[in-house]
This record gives sequence, structure tokens and C-alpha cells, in this order.
Amino acid sequence: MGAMNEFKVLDPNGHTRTSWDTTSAEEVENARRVFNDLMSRGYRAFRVDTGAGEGQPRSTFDPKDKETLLVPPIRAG
Amino acid sequence: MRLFRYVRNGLERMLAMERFAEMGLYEDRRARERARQLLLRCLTPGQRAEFERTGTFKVRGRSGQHYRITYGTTANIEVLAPSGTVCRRLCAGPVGVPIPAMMLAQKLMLETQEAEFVRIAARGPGTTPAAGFPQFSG
Repeated sequence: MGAMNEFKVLDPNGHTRTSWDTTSAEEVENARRVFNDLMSRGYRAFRVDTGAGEGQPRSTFDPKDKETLLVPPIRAG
Repeated sequence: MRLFRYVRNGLERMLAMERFAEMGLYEDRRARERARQLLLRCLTPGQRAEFERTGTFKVRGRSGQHYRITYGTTANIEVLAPSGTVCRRLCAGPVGVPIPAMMLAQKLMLETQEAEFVRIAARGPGTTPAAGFPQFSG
């Protein structure tokens, strides 16, 4: 079993997690499908480095990213 | 009869709260706590200490502008003048997520996609007019 990476989608429950084994083509493909679906709906992705408290915007899915946050579309209030 | 009414009223209140939760009007405590834990993990040590002390934390955009993100749902971002006073408020964020998750989204946007975030916020009625605030072109 390889490294388990994940993304967290911010939602009404706080967040929902999707994780994948980096050595499993099937799991990676499933995660990519979820990622692309959300991005097509206006979500924004940020690779996060929780130690440093920093985020890096991501426009494409990289299965090697350890932790990614997906943020629903930003609207003016 | 009184007991029956008491139980019925209690059940009606619970159902109403569930409906509010579904509509995003009532924030589930567990969801808020999960979001708070995630926010804490994603803050810098300085931001984390400030948030735990005051319920707010400061971020710096790529332009050098400082903002204070406060715990709230409306116009909760303060644009800070160099003196530290509030010169403007911004109102924008994802809809339907607990407040700490919204604050996390606002932090990530302001630190990495500041110009775009400010442009979105400028369209909203909750954002106060600019005064001494950097304008982003493009």
C-alpha cells in the first residue's frame, strides 16, 4: 500500500474527505473524477501545508499532493 | 395531556432545527467544531494564537495589504490601514459552510488570490466603499 493522500471539500458538515492510495490507479482515477467535477462547478483547490499554515492554488489534480482543500464558489455578500 | 404537549413541542422544535440546518440557517455544532479544527490546523502559529485569543486573525495579501478576518457571516473582513484602523469591510465567501470554514476559505483566497477575491467582494452590498485601499487592475 502506498501513501494515502486526500482532499477535503468544505461543506455544511465542516468538510468531507476523499482519500486515495497513490499506488492504486483506480483510487487515483476516482479522486481525479471527483476533483474535476467540483472544479467544473466553480470550486477552488488549494494544496495546504498545515505546518506552515500556507495554501497554494491548484488548477489541476495532482495525486501526489498530500492534502488539498476544495472551497465552494466564492460569492459576494 | 400537559406531558403530551411538552413532548410534541419538543419534537416540533427538533424538526424545525433540522429544517433550518438543511437550509443552512442553523449551524450544526459538530460541523462547526470540525471546521474549527481544520481552520486551526491551517493557520500559521501566529494566526492560531491570535484566533484562540480574540476569535480573529490577520492575513497579508500579495499586495502587502493587511486584513483582519473576524468570526461572523457578514462583512467579517476588515481592511486595515497601516495604522491598524479599519478603513473598509469586505463581504464575500463560500455559502452554506460553517463560519470557521468560511474564514479558512477567506484566508486562502486573500493570501493567494487577493485581487480576484477583492473584485468579487466589491460587487456585494455588504462591502463598504473603498477609501485609501489599493486598486487591482485587470
